[in-house]
Amino acid sequence: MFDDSKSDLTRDEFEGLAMRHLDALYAAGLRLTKNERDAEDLVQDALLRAYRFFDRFERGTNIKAWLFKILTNTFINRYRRSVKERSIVDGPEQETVQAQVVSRQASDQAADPERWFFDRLLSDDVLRAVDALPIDFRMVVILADLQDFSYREIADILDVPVGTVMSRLYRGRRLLQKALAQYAIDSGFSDASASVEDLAEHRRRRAKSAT
Amino acid sequence: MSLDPLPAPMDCAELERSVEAFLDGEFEAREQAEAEAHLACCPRCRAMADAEAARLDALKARLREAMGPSAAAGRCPAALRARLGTALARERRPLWRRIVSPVPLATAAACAAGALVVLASHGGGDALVEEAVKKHHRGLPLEVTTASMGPDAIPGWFAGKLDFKPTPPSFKEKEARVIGARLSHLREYPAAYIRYDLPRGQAGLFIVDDPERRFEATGREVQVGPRTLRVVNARGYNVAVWRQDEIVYSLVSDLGEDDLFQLVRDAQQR
Repeated sequence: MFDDSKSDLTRDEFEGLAMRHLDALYAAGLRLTKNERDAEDLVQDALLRAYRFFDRFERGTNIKAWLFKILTNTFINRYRRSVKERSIVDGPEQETVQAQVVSRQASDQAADPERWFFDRLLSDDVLRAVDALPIDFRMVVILADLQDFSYREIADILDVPVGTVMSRLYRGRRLLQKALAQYAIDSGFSDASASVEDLAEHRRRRAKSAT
Repeated sequence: MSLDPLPAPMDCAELERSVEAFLDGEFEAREQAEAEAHLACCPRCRAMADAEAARLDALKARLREAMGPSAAAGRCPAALRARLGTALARERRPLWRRIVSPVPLATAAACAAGALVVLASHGGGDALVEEAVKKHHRGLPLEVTTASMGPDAIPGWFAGKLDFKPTPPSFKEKEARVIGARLSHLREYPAAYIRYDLPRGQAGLFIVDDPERRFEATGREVQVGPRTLRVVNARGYNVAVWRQDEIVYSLVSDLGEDDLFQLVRDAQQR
């Protein structure tokens, strides 16, 4: 109380700035590690590291982005086994934008737009679908679509070019939607809006039974 | 792609290629204007952009439901929060204190002279006052407010989030009105925190489970109705601490002592 009032101040400032992002950091940590115990360790490690390096934080800049950068770095350093997973991702990610556009038109227009709404999907299904994304896509989708970071901020957090953020986000979202659509179909939730598909399905079945 | 395009600086292919960046709000003002000019004259792209927007909105909504702050997967567990508080405190302390930390510091530091009480700089009493004042003063965002769920629902909100059932005293409405609540901790022990609006200023009530009497109360002893309070003035706040069986209450307030006693006297434990 008397011997370290100066660092007490810093700690107060750190707690005031950082602790409000604890929920967001934990939510991201949980999706990165996929289990609660590791997520807790990861968040604790990251936060203590942030506190130790707090003097390097530039006052007035985005503390949330700074904390997320430390969280993802801590994760990458600690869970190096994910390196294998990363190398798989980097190939198809280089796919040209033109090819992506073509595939989007092909897949989207064939699909029932109602299916994108996945209204009655269970949260567990959503979590499972997120967890099933390759790690690089998972990070970008969480940072952009849950934490509302800009492309530039995500590029800084992950130390990659903005273009890479865009292509990972594009692909990550597609993969996630595909998985969610599949869950919606599997759980029968898309029935109400799927009369057209039902007809197609019906014809396919008839064609099958006719042969 | 549209049959009769008005002269627009962005064409269909360009827009289609960058529609996600457009919808994510990543365009600069000039690009934004170009895209909007194109959308205004191209119904096909407009339909495409609308569909894309609906798709992205739906996706984000599902993610928020599953892992936003209202979902279990989006909330930092109270135990971790508490652990972090302890870990940060440990980080902060000078090395020599960390080394001797298993040995409790001398407990003879507390000394009283008449009604004046000097706080010992250690132990649970410290946390009940110093830590409570600091936390209250910082005004961290509330996790739940009466505006969203009504004052009577606050105790229920804590259910399942703490290992004990916090029962806040029912203060008189005109003396203290509940604003909202959040999970907190005193030392490493999870605590309920409820913030009140007073006729002048605010108050924060910490409720912590203490069956082992780790929190020793410090401060001047005052008998208020059936209750024995410990009262301390710290950093400009008057703090009242009292115990009800195994539960300890620490009320940090802007009130003068007399008003504080009045508030506690008028309250009944629910």
